[in-house]
Amino acid sequence: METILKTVDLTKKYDNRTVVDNLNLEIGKGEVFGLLGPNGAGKSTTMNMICNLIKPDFGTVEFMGKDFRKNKKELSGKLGYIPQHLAIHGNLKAWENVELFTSLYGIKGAELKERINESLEYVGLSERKNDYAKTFSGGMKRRLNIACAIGHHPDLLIFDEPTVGIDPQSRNFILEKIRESNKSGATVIYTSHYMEEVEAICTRIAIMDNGKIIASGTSEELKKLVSDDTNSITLEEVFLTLTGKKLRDM
Amino acid sequence: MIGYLIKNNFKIMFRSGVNLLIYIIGPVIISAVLASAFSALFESYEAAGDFKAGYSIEEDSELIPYVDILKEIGEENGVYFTEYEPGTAEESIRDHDLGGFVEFGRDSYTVYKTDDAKTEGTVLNYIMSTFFTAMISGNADEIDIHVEHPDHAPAIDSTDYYGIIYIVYFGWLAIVCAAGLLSNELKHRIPERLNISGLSSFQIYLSRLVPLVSAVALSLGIAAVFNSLLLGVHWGNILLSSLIVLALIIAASAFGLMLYEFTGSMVAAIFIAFALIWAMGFIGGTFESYIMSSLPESLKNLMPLYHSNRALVELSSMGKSDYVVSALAYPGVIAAVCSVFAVGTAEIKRRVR
Repeated sequence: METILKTVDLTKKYDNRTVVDNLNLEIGKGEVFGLLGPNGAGKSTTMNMICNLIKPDFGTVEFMGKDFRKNKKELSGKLGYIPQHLAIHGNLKAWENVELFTSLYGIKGAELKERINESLEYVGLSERKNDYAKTFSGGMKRRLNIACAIGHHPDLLIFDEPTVGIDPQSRNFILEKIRESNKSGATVIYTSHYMEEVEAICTRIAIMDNGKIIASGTSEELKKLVSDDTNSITLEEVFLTLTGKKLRDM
Repeated sequence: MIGYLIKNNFKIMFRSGVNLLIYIIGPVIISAVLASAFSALFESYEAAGDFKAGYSIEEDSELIPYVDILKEIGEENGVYFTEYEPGTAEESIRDHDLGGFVEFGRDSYTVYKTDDAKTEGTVLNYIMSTFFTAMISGNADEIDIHVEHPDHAPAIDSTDYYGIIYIVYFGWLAIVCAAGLLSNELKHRIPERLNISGLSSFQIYLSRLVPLVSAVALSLGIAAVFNSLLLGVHWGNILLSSLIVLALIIAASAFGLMLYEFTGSMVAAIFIAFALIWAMGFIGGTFESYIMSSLPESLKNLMPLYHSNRALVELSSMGKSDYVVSALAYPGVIAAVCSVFAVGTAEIKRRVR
């Protein structure tokens, strides 16, 4: 399988504390890659380094075969980032929000209009395109957040806990859309604390703790690490067995 | 690439009811209130010119050594003092057509004014109170009093003065207009999305500066039209005045955005900007008219607001001003320097993250 993203010895330290420790990841084109880990495991820092928001102390991120930091201008348009927070403007209408973020990738005019309609259609917000984002429910804002990140047709989509705080219908809708995106060729990196979501959509899962990948594989492969009877064990039990039950937010 | 970002940022600013209230209604209401409150002050000043004044002094007065200094200052300001016998103030004014009279007691003075010469009385009162204050603090021989006599017709009145000055003042507070946008950006971490898209620090800065300048300029333009239509404010040379206002809005926006980059907090940026602009306005004629102000000219000249205020007021009243060049150049330098610092700070923050 062709590699779309590769981290080589990725390392980040804060105040002598190693948050990401020589991380080596390889994500193939067309994969839905799930990244799990308890709070403070280093997932967000890893994501931020992949997205070029944080500079690694050591190591590189190779995106589509090139050093991402050195080829940022060329490669930025091939990445779509759906942050955990709702990075949208309440005082803009739905279509204006999509226009704002899609246009950042040099798309304009009739093509931009087409992309806006397509993105809003994709997340089921076409009917509400002229409404202000501040009038939307939590689930609708989440969907708009996604629409803002897909208008430029990225090859790699990074979802950082996109289903936090929304109802089951909205969550199901988002997961369906991630599957659809993947079927139409996009590679997906997905982080979440909801194990059942990760198990449902990810083709490969990595569990991260203390800045390192402690296990990776398919859901079945991870379960086998803990028990031979993979039907009687959940991914959450695997996760707790591997990372421990001690609270991390203390 | 950033055209749509600029357009949408402008929409966010211009759709804010608070911004419209501050930048359109605010200057109109404050101008109207202050113009009304200080109209008498400006009216009395309107007819100021050279005039004769009388004085008398008691034999045992402690003020005798200062009289010559006072006469000298009077002459410098077009007030010519003549000595008369003590106790003859009222008849001297009447018989010798004096603009006013000062009666020096042992350690005090009394100013006599008439209804026929209100302006002269006000000028005399101003000279005496400034002189006496300096004398008490022991600086009488170093005192530098200037009663300015703008050679304009018609003279500036309080409506024109405050109608113009508060457009300038609100213009310098431009950063407030970006509060909603920048707070929302910060709260929802929108700059991260902008950074991921590959925008440079300079592009992000421009995407804030251009809509901020446009929104404030448009709002204040509407306020200025309201001021003209509702209050009757005269702007003199409209093209030049518009350029001066635009220059100061660009400078104020760059200054505010620089403070925002420095502090990383909208509240802190607005607080610092407000405090500095208030102090500059205090010296530069926003609250106390710079015409009446006794502050040193050198201090006033340091304030960019003073240059904008004076150029616009003189354009309104005289149709020309020696301050036009500095009212354009001073904000130009501020805008350039603040932009460099703002972009530089954003870039450094981005690289060390």
